[in-house]
Amino acid sequence: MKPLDNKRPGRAVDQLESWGRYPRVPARLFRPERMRDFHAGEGPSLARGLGRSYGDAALLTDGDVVLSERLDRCLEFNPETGVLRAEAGLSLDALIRAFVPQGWFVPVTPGTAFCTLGGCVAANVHGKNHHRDGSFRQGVTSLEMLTADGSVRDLTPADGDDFEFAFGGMGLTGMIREVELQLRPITTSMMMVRHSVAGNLPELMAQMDDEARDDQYSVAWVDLLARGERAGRGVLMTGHHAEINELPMRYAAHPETLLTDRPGRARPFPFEAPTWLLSPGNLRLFNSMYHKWQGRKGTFFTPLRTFFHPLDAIRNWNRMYGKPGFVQYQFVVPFESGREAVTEAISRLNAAQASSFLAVLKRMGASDGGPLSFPMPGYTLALDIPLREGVIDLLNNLDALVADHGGRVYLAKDSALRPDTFRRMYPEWERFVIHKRQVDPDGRWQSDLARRLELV
Amino acid sequence: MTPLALETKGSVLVVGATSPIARAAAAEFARQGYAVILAARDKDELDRIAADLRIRSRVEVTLLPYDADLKGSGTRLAEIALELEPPLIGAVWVVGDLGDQDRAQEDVTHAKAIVRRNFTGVIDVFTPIANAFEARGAGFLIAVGSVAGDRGRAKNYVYGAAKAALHAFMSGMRQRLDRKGVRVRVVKPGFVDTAMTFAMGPLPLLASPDKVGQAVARAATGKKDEIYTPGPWRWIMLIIRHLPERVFKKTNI
Repeated sequence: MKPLDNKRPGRAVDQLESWGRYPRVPARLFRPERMRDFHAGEGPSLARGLGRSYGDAALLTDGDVVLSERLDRCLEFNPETGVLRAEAGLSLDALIRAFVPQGWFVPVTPGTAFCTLGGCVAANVHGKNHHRDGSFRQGVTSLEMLTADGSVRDLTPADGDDFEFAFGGMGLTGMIREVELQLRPITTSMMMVRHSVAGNLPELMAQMDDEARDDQYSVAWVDLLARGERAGRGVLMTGHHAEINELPMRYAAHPETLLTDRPGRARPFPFEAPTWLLSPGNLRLFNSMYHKWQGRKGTFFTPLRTFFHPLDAIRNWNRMYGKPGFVQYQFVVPFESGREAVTEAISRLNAAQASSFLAVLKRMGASDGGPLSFPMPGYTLALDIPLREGVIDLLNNLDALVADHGGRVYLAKDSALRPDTFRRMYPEWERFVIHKRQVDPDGRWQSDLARRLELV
Repeated sequence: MTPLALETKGSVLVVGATSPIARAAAAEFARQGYAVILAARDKDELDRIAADLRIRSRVEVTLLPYDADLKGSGTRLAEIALELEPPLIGAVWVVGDLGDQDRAQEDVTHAKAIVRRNFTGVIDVFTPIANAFEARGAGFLIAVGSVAGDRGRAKNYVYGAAKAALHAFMSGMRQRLDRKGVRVRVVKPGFVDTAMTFAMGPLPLLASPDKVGQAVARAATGKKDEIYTPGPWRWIMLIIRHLPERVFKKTNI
């Protein structure tokens, strides 16, 4: 029923933040509960999902930020083919909950399930299977988009740039209303996982490049604090969806449990941590223990939630970095200069004492999506850096290194990149800007990221 | 694979089905294996919610139009719902509209619209259903009321009055029908995190619509006649209800 009170209920907030909790900006929030109310505000507007991007991609200073989270309905599903059409606010968490018991999984998932389909398209997210299956774009067969002139368009790959540029388009080409994607069939909800230890970075990369050692999903944890001979030591973690006949007898004895989703109860991170918690000494200790403990595991079975989204078990883990927040820095560099660039980046991080214990290295496969889509063939390294003085300078310094090696940083995690460096990293940027001017001549869709990178 | 929809337990009618609370309640009924009948005015939203329910829980979903502002709409709705298969076993009233208290003080038409949407509409829908359940000697009726109906407050007394009337209506039906095997329940939420409260900013004891919706669905089988959700509202309202008027009138609660 149409509410009697016709004012569009918005909420003014002083400090809208994303997952990195930096930066924080004032904005007006809207949270429509009906699809027809999912549209731009009066001025510059931006659609926002669950706010899991780290930097300013989902922020819009003094603008209208429209939350998609209440628009999360599944609209069509073909149980024969596994093609699902759903509203853009559907989270991967809800999708997994609903479809794993029916034998289907998402084609690509980032490290958290608390992200929306719309957000996954906008950032063209990738997962541990990027080297084999590509990014989120590969699973998507169709999109419904609200354009700047207020019309609703159904887009398929046949629509060329109008469709492709939405992937990695950071929500700047239109508001994504619906997403149609091809789910992946699974026969069990368990993962068969293999961990192996590498003593240093060259060894780790060699293991990762070894086709015999490879699997559908592959990612490595790297100890950034280890020095000298052990620099870049880590644990390579690979895995695939376990087939029924791979599971030990005790699972097969209870066939009804083969496709269960056990999201577990997310425990909150209890407080805003004091900054000393993540002091270099504590981190070094943690990393040594983690290296030993994870390396010992060998081959084992684990529920898919644990494999794909381990940090989702701790709600608000971002509070671990205390009040100032943190940045997550992720870059990719081509294979040719990969080892050199990654080694140099690690040594610069160490020199700056920018301690981080969540460092992840993986191989990426072919590019897809629009000009601002992040993935490209090469090695990608992702790490958290607690925010403090000098961090932005350090990032700009690393940005230059990455650009020099022909690499790029992930815009969904960025909050520091400068426009000139951005253009070196994303050489097709001009095509995006031209397209944006065509589809949105009045600059209706904006974000702080777009403003910072001079895209609007 | 999970089993397909369990053996059918009958249909549950959800009136005002496009609200987030109603959607959560319907999903919970569907999960328990009931067929659901969704009634509301907004056809596009009804279609979306129905598709979602069918996909997630694989139950039968029937859509019916209902508009509290339209004369005869509620009577017709009850008539059709009582004829559908599987037979109706429960009905839930989730229609609610806070309206605009300031406007209601100036504009009597608006005040009456608030009362119609929150209260008078339920009479048309629940009266024939209650009679059918009484004759059958089984069924449940649930209404979503509000803590605002426990005591009239300056801030929203038109809404509060309508909810209070709803509570009294349900209480009377309970006394009449409980002995006939018909369960009559009222769920009284405090602040719920919906469009109604979103603009108000952070609120105390804010409940998610999912939690409230689940409480609504659980009320059908639970033992309590009146359910406050979240629970602490029971004690808060106990105190607020018992403040003497001469004190209450001077406060800004």
